[in-house]
Amino acid sequence: MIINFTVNGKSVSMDVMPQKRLLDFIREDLLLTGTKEGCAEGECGACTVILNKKAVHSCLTMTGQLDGGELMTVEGLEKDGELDVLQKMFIKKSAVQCGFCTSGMLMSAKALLMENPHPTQEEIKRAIAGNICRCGGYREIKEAVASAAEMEKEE
Amino acid sequence: MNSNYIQPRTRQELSQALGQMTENSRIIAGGTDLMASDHGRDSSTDLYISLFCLGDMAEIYREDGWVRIGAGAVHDAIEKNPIIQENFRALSMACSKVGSQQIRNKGTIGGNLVNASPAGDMLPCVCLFLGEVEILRADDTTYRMPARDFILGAGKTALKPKEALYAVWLPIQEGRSSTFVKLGSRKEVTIAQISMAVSWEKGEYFQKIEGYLGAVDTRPIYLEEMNHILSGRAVGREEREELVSSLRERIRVIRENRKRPPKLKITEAEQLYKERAVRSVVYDAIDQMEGES
Ligand SMILES: Cc1cc2nc3c(=O)[nH]c(=O)nc-3n(C[C@H](O)[C@H](O)[C@H](O)COP(=O)(O)OP(=O)(O)OC[C@H]3O[C@@H](n4cnc5c(N)ncnc54)[C@H](O)[C@@H]3O)c2cc1C
Ligand code: FES
Ligand code: FES
Repeated sequence: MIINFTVNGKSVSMDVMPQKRLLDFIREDLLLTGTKEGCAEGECGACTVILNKKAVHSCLTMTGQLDGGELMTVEGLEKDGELDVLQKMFIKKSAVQCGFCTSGMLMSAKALLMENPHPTQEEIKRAIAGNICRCGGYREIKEAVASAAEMEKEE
Repeated sequence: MNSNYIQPRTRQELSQALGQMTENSRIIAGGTDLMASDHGRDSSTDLYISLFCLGDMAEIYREDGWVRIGAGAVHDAIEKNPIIQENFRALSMACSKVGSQQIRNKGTIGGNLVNASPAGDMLPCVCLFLGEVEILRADDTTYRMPARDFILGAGKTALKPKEALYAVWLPIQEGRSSTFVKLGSRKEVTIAQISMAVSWEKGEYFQKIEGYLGAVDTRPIYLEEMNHILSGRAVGREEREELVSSLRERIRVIRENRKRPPKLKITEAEQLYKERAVRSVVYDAIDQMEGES
């Protein structure tokens, strides 16, 4: 099946296996390996990407569902060689330990800030409730997201 | 992985696709139930029909005293829809408590009802609001039936081969309020152990109370005792405890009549968990009702 979509702002037309998991398509066909596989059943959030401006699990999505859509992966955060403010704040606040949950966390946080640039603590907590960090750095992660929102406000 | 895949863009294309279904074909909406179980890799599936690009199926609007929720409407959209918040608060609340943001962004009301999990949060709400389901056939006609008759048991619905759930219709009932309580095994991103959906007529005291208990039996249970115990009076500790006793008894009977042992290996004390925990559900529900009135 030929599908048309954009990935990180670039238009693409590709012949795909529509029932393949979007997660596998992203990693194996688009060769974007920043998106991770954890549980493969919607529990851990490691595979989170932004599809049509919403955070979704790429492990529970079929590639065909991308047709006509807009996909953003963690690789799309960086613009012209400069990291997104969220990425900068994750580094600054030490919100990355082993890093396995990080791309999923970043995408959940990005989807939140796209819809709601000035979230409350509660809204940040809710947005990342489906992202599990085995290293347990939730406090730093929430601080990083709050600081990124603050920085955007100042700019 | 050689199954076919059709992604209709109009209702007519969907009906045509339904005509091609065999017993090995699957409909996929959000995929949050289906993909979690078969990963799209079930080699016996000959055809997937994806509802993801059917705009009309996701729409929510008011029509002739009813609110129509497309079967493809996702939990996040239902939660935030002003018509739902105003008329069916319990449903908006239930959607806000489904899984995580990622699940709410993709999981649909249609998938929830057709999956018919006893823990499905939409089931008690749609029953509470006297909802009807609209079903699409392969000849592009639809018919409606009460949601209560549609849900037959755990994983079982009245949907026939070559049919899709197209929309859910809820009649608008003026002057009523509602609320939803969910008790899970953890605070967030949790599957219901017990849920309760309640509606009542606004006034000095609660009147004409309707209630459903979810996740306790294979289908939502209608609680006729709620109205007897709580309506037309100031509700104190005595009424709360009377309702707790009644629900505890219902849960005990269901547990004792269960034919199959619980799937998980649990201790006897754990088996009694719901009977104990229903007290907090009753207290939370009444607190919320008082807060709303
Ligand atoms: C991590 C996680 C947490 C969850 N938490 C909750 C929760 O808190 N509460 C809750 O209730 N559920 C929960 N769920 C279950 C699930 O997300 C919901 O039931 C969701 O609403 C299913 O919708 P879907 O569109 O993703 O269904 P799908 O997976 O697409 O489909 C489910 C079933 O319904 C069929 N189907 C779907 N749409 C139609 C239609 N229109 N016509 C005919 N057949 C159809 C499919 O063939 C399939 O058999 C959770 C799931 C996960 C993975
Ligand atoms: S890999 Fe998708 S949620 Fe865990
Ligand atoms: S940083 Fe290790 S899992 Fe989150």
